[in-house]
Amino acid sequence: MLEAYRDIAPQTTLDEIRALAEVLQGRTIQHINSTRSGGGVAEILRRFVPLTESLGIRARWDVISGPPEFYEVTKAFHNALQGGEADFAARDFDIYLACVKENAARLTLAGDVIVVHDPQPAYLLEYTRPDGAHAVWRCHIDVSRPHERVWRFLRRAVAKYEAAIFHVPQFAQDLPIPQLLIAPSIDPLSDKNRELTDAEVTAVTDRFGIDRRRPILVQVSRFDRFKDPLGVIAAYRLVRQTFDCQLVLAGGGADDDPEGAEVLAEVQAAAAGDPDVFVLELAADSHVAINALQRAATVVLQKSLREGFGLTVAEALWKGTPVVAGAVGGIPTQVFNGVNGFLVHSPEGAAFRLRYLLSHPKQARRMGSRGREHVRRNFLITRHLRDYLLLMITCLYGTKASGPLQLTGGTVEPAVR
Amino acid sequence: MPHDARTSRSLIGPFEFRKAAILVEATPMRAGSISQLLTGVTLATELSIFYHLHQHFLVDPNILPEYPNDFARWVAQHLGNGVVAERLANLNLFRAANLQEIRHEITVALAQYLAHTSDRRQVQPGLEFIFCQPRILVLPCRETAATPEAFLEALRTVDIQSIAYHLFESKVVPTGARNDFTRWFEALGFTDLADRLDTFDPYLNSLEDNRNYLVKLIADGLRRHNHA
Repeated sequence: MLEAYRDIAPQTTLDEIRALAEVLQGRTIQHINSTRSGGGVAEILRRFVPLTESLGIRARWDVISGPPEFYEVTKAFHNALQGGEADFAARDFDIYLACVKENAARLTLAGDVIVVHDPQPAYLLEYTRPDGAHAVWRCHIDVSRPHERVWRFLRRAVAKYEAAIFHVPQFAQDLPIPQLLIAPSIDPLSDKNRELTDAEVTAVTDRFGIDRRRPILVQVSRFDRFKDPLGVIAAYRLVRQTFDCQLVLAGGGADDDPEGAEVLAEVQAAAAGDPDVFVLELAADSHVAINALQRAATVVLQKSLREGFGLTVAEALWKGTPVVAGAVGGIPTQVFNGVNGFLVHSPEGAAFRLRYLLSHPKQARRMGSRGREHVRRNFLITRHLRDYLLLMITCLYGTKASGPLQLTGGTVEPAVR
Repeated sequence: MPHDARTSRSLIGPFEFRKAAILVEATPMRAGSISQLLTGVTLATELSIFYHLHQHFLVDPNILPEYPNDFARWVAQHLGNGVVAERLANLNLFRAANLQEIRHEITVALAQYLAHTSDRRQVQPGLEFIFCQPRILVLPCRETAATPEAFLEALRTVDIQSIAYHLFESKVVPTGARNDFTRWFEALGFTDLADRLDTFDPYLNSLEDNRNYLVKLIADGLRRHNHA
């Protein structure tokens, strides 16, 4: 399976994966999360598990389950941990704990290394702890400004793991355990990121009435105030004073998100009457359409005011499209200002950089190509897999940054010169 | 000295190209001002100092950023203090024999600034400098070189992270100021080439530029050596 990434991912990463896998033969990594479909975690695990197995390492993927009220509580936790305001009753915590306890009785924890993903199953270790296994908690959300009560509750569980893993340093917390950093990734073979023919791209733009002969500015994101879609429209209006361009704001449906629907209505009102602004509500599985829009774009925007990691930036850069993005969350680790795109702080800043890129197409192409290379080295699923193998070795061979280890002849030992 | 070189070659083993795979750990230490940065640099592990001085080489081998280390970049970007940022950009990493020397240089630069200013600027919450440190696993590369000519060929194509490892790793495991490449050629008796390699400052270029420069330098050195 790893072969599928040859000529796409860096050969050195593939070599590292094979070298690391050699010392992990017959070991088991077990992933536990809360859903087998939908969402970024399930998407990545669906690829990780067979890839890991293909390397001779056993991979298990177990999913906790619960009644709808459990998921209502965990969704509220999820939002609160990302800074949302919420009130919780003692009953909410009871519902959560009872459900995790039931799952602990049902699940077999059987990995050499057990990775528990996100808050939903975090309390599992409270009720079951297999002998000799190394358990780590993997956080996929931005907990840099969490709801205090919910974080305090979660922290009690997380502190019992051997380590916690966050996307970027800014998400790390005050914890008594090591906090490792593993950035998320995109899969270059997925529908959202695979190569498309020009005809496939045109089919999508034609479907929405977008003119590929004129510059296209695209922002792909939920209709959410933190993504600043109104700021994007403001920037576009400033650019329109000198450039005949189009703006595409593409986001998921907002049926289950009252605030999303409200923001969408505001965006539609702001765009009303301008035939060159396309506000697209796309279904959750519109991966090829998003891929095509990012490829058709002259510049991709991600003008977030607050962001988790912002993987849509990596997706755009992977397609060789330069990006103008807010300097927040994980975006500065993806966009080097002036190298593969621009970091901005205001609609005016975005407009200025957009005008620059539209008037310097060669420079824009060069930035796009640097962006693709940056993603190839740092944000593909192969690098992510390599990091998980390193994590396994770190857990199994017990380094605590006291000194380097070295891999020699299929074993791991302290590094000597 | 061709004679010395031949004698040495039989004693010196092939050059084994290696590289480091790293997993990064965020430590609890954070700094929101110059004085907190001074405290952090004083208390941080040596590996943490190493990481913040070299990590840009790991992220993108084609780029030499405006500020060549995390300390300088953070001071410039988030504290808006160009004077201190430039002092931190101008560290003499190349000649420092070990990380203690580098730590000392940073702390002196920060302490001297603080001694002569009332600057107490503090970054906004969320923009603090977070001290990280690497967990390092050293891996062998495919390439080994038994002769200088084979070394040159391998250098042209070896994983760029291997070049980073051999240029900078001597700062983590002190072996004197000279890097692995210099010491290997020196041991083989290529003293002129070793001396020229020793005057080359890899901190002034991107990693790929370093590769190109090394290839040119070594090709030229071997030509001269063979000619002599």
